[in-house]
Amino acid sequence: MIGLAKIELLKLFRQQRTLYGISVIFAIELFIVAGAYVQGRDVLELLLENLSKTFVLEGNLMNGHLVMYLVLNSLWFNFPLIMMILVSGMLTNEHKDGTIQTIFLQAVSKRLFIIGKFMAAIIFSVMVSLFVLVTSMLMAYTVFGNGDLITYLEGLNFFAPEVAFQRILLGFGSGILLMTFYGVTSISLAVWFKDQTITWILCAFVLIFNGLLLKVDFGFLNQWLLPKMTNAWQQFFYYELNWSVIAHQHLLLLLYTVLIALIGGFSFIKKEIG
Amino acid sequence: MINTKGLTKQYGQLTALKNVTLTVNRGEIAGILGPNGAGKTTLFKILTGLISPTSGTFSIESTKAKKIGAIIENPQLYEYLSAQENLTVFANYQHLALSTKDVDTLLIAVGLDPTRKDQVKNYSLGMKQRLGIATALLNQPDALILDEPFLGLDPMGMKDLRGMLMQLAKEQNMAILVSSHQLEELSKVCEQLHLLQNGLIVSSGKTAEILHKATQQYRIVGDGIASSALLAPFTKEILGDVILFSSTPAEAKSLLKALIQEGHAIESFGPELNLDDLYSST
Repeated sequence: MIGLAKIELLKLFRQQRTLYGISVIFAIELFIVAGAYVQGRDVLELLLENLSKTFVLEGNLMNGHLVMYLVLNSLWFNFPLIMMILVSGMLTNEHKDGTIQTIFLQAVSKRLFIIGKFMAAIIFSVMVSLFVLVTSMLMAYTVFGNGDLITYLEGLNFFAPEVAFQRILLGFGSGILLMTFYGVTSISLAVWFKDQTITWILCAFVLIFNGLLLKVDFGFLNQWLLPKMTNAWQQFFYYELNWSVIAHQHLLLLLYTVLIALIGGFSFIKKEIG
Repeated sequence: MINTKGLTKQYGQLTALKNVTLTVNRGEIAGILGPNGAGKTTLFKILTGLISPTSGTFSIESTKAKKIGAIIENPQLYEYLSAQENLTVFANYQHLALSTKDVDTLLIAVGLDPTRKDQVKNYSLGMKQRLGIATALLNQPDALILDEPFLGLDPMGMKDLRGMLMQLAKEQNMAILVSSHQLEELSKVCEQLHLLQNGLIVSSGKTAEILHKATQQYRIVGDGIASSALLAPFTKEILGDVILFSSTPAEAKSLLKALIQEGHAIESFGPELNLDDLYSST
């Protein structure tokens, strides 16, 4: 199975669109950093205007931690969209080019093939997340330096630099699980819809719909609904960490990931190739 | 050996294949002849397991992991990879460890240059066809099916492909099933022909017998034969030194003898094959 995942990754990285996709992710990071550099301090001063009338705010608040937090906010739409397009293409391209037929004219097991696709999707999702973490970290801390992190979640939360760094790493760790979820979902979408353009549209729809549902209050259902779980990384930016909520949300997100992979995989095995 | 018994495939109300029964023995090349939409590709997709038949059974006699190699419709390859990489990828999918030497040997066997390292997208259709066959031959199957392999090939490419198929059948004792709507090409390579029309096998038999049924006209090319009185009794079309005439096989044979005796240098002589005639004769 590792061998099959390796083939998938080899194919993925030999396609030009993968290079373009990763370049676009990097461009988004650059854009965030450049935006923070040009306007960050003014925006921050405006946001903290009232607070500074009552408290003395010291030090560099427009710092690398805050920029990293801004990069993390791209986990809602920008990075997942590009990644889903790239990952779903691992299967839709096989249908478009007819290579899936050539593969299944060989002695290949459908079960192992689709497991290889899911594994490659997971590995690629982790790789993209780590790429974002390393590149954004390099840019953010080099350009903006260190300092306290301010977040606004049910009020203002201040984190000392060493705590802020831990929270950023935890947030990215959670982000890796989220990106994995999107990677697995995009393979399942490709299984169900086969067509490249339809799958892309549906990937965008999933992200938009998810973003909308995130803002709706479903009462007691909130703790079970998938869209709420995709926001799990934000739990690390409350001043007090609620580990039971964090564990619940991450385990549920993991469960949804496994469930979507199982349904997608089972559908693939049942479907005819020709 | 490829064996099918009563294969039928239905898509809703449409019956793509009706009760198809045929056998291809090892070391034999058989042809499926039929117009577009006759059901050739459906039959091949069933034989390769890409789709399931609605009813009927089939078997490929083999003990190998890959019983049958195939190209269906066009050779579908990773255009962004080289020929070597394509073979390596398709080999790896079936856990087949091929060395660089193995890959090069396979490429040479199908007439491709192993020193070429560029992407397959730069290859001609004929070269892709060869690479497709190399892919089909991975894991050394006992049977091979090729759907329209002559399509888009130049005369040299067709000749090479025919040679390759005959070699595979004889030297590797493979059962080979080839489909085409090009009667002439099939007749040059197949020992058995099956005529498929609207999903139904309308005629099966030795290639020579089937061609015999289909041949209504003969083509003869020779210096100054148009003026020969020997051709007067026949219905004919004259195109310079090329004459197309209608006759029975026995009459055609006698005419050829007589023209030679009359002193004409005959450059070529043969039946004019026509798919329409073939179907109307069944």
